Amino acid sequence: MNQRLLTILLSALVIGFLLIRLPFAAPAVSQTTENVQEQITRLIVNMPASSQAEEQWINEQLLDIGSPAVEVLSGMLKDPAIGSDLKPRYALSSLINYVGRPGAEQQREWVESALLDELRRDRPVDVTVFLMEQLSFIGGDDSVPVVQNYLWHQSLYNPALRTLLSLESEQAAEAIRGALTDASGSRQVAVIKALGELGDEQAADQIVEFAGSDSWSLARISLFALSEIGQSGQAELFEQAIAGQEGFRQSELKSFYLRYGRQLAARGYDEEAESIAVYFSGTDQPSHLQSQALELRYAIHGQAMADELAQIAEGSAPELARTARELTASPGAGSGSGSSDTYEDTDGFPSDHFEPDYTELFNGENLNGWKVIGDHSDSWGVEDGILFTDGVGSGWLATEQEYDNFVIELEYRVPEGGNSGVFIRAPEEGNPAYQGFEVQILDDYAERYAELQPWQYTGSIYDVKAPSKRVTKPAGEWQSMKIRADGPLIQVTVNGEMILSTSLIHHMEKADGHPGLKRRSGYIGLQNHSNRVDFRNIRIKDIQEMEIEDRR
Amino acid sequence: MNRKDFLKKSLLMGGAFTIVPRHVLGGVGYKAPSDELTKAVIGVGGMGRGHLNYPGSRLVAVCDVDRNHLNRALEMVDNGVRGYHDYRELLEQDDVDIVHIVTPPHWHGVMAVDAANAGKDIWCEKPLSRTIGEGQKVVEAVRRNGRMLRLNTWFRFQSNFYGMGTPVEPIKKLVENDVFGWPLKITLSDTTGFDWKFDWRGRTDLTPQWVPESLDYNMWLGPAPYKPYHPHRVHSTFRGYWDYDGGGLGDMGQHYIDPVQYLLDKDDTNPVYIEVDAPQQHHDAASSWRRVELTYKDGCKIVLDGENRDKEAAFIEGPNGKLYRGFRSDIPDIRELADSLPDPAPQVTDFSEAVKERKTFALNEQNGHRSCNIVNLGIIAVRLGRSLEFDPDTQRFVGDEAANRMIHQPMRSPWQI
Repeated sequence: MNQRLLTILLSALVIGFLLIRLPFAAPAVSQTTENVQEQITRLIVNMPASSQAEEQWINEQLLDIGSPAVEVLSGMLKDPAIGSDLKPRYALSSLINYVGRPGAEQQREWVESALLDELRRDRPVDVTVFLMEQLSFIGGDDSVPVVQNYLWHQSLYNPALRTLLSLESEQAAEAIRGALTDASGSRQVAVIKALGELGDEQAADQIVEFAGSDSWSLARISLFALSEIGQSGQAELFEQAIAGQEGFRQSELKSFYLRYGRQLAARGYDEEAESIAVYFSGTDQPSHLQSQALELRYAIHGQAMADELAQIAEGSAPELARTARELTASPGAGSGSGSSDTYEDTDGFPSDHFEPDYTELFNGENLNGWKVIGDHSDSWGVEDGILFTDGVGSGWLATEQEYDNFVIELEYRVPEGGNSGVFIRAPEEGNPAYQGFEVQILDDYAERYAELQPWQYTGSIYDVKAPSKRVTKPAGEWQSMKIRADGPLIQVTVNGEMILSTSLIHHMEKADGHPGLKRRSGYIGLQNHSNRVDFRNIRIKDIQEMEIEDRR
Repeated sequence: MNRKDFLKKSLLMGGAFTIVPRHVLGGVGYKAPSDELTKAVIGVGGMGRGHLNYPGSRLVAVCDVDRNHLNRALEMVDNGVRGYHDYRELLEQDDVDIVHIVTPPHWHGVMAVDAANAGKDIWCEKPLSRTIGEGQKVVEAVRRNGRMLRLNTWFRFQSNFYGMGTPVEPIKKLVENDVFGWPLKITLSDTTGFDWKFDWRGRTDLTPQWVPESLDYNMWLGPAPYKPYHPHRVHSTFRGYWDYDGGGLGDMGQHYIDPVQYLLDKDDTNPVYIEVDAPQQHHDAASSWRRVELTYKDGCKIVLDGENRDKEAAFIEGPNGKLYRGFRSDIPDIRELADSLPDPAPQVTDFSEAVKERKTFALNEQNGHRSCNIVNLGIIAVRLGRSLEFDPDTQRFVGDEAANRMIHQPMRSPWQI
């Protein structure tokens, strides 16, 4: 009897497992292509959707169908000279936008893969251009080998290059370099330009060959590319080219030469950069080039030039004086006006900068503003500006006030194997992770946590939704976390990167066992989960709930 | 003899007469303050023909890639004005001080940078740039070449500001003196007096047409991706296509939003959070949107209300008071109060003066780039259909890779910036 029961139970479990949709995987095709075609035609008939909620619903249905959706939709695309394909175009571009959202990495991956399958097929040029354009929003390394093939196509090399440049893939340069050897005419120009824009030093030796070409378009773009790459020792190429041109062509070459100088300075070739600056510094030079030369010298010497700049600022050349004043006032990348390759994503938010709109939740000295829930009130304390739990017992620390819509920022530090969390909208009674909900804090790297569910790692809404990636630092280091609770929209940012953005509306099927998902307000809390966890710089900002219909 | 005599004499002698470069006469880069400034206009379609008579400088050249537009403009102006097809040829003319860029927005970035690198000062149509990335390059190029740039919008320093029925100055005084409190919410909608011009929408049913012989379509496209020609893509209706502009938001956004950045004293920063409510967008043709909300770090908000949902909306709403369309307020005697307050910091409002004396103009490449960013943040959020978080210091989005790919959009060969 027991054996039979066990077998039935096991079979039920296996079947049950197969029936439950694994999150984010592309399901196998179980319907005929005709059914899928009908289904999709019906789904997209109301596109464009009038609300984001509707658009999202359609996309979730398409994602449920899986890669056949991409296949069928692509098959419906037509050359605009021949017919109309408005709905499939709306549907595909919407789907791509949708899977490009933060936190949808697995969906993005398989939609990219399905798109690449479509790009391998033979289609009208306009359709291929459309597919490649969409791919540029979400494609990654995997896209390079497929798009690369279009570099040889007379009508498609420009869209292909545009897509390859958008992918931010380190493999793009190599793929484009491969097209350099047998390219000619405008295709060759386009390939060289792209290699320049990628700063591909490996291509420099080949490109140098073309700098002296009789073809102006080839010579010009080669010098542009070299100016972006900034390889040492090419000054003479520029000067020779400049000597051989006049008018706009010459002035363009001069601007490339100065660009080359800036690139050299950025890469530490100070002497060579200085010679270029000197070349443009004579009083016989037009004032705008003298200004560029001054900026270049400032890039090389920085503050060491302060006295000289001050002199020029008071000098008799008004345009140069102004440049000198501007350089002194806001050197280089002030107010975000630096060159594009100095832009970096911020690593985290400055924890010592207090913004007037935030309120400190923790005063650094004692537990004012907080109350301990549970029996172990002495397991929470403050020392050296740090709020900590020593891990004895369990329970949690709640704010005295309740909050509904807010952004909370804090820093935390877990020991090896550490475990804690931030409770949101929790009542005093019951388990706050389920009567409210919990944003998990964990030592993600501990061996004993290696086999957890995705929704158990740092930044997840515990037992509800996994973060899109792991951005945590090792145990023992201070890390930052920011949680935005704006109505049902919950966003979690850890160490400066947003790794979760979801609407609780999508998780209502769990609400019976997890009533906290429906609560509009409650206490914010910190979890005591049996080890010493430190917190500091906890602050909060109330936000007005966005009054937008169909905000989800 | 002075310069005028020299020129007259040459004419009388009927000999070969060439324009003597200004820098030869007065030394390199020299502009005598008493000299008349000269300008050239690139793009002489509907808007461009308006620029021909802008005061403060003498027109010497026009340029257009559509032969019909070019000829029509040449007929409207003096005989001496020269016509060009290729703007690069125009940029090498020594007798041009200021270049007016009146092309569709997808060309603004490249032309402004090229003009700066050619030593010209610039008067650029709005929006300053079609992408945030191009705007950054314009700021750098103008600055490093020591050039002056002004945008073709002006409400922060002159004229009645749409529904307010008053210039911005008294409003600035009230805000600067904390009359409404802080933070502020600014609403731009029909109710407050701002029309979002959703008529600028692209068509989604375009079939390729033959390119007219008078138009150099390849040059018209320039850095924009190649798409088959259709008359609706060019000549005024280009405003409906993401490749060239941004619908009503792109067209009017900077007029409405630039004075708001000025009022909020946020000329060196941008919002950090953008929320949007819009119908699904087409990948090529712009249409309409219902609402875009841009929130700054300190809680100030700009609400673009395209559907005009709130019929009672105030233009400015603060914790201590509101300002409505027509300069009405719930604070009594708001007019008298504004009059009694000290003037805001002075601005240079005459571009000729700015050019001659090398003084930063009221609306220049730096604050113009910042207000243009708001237009572009709105456009990106509308196109992607989701909320975005933006870092104003690095000028990148936080945690949204697809949005970041819209900051620098690769240009079609051989155009680069």
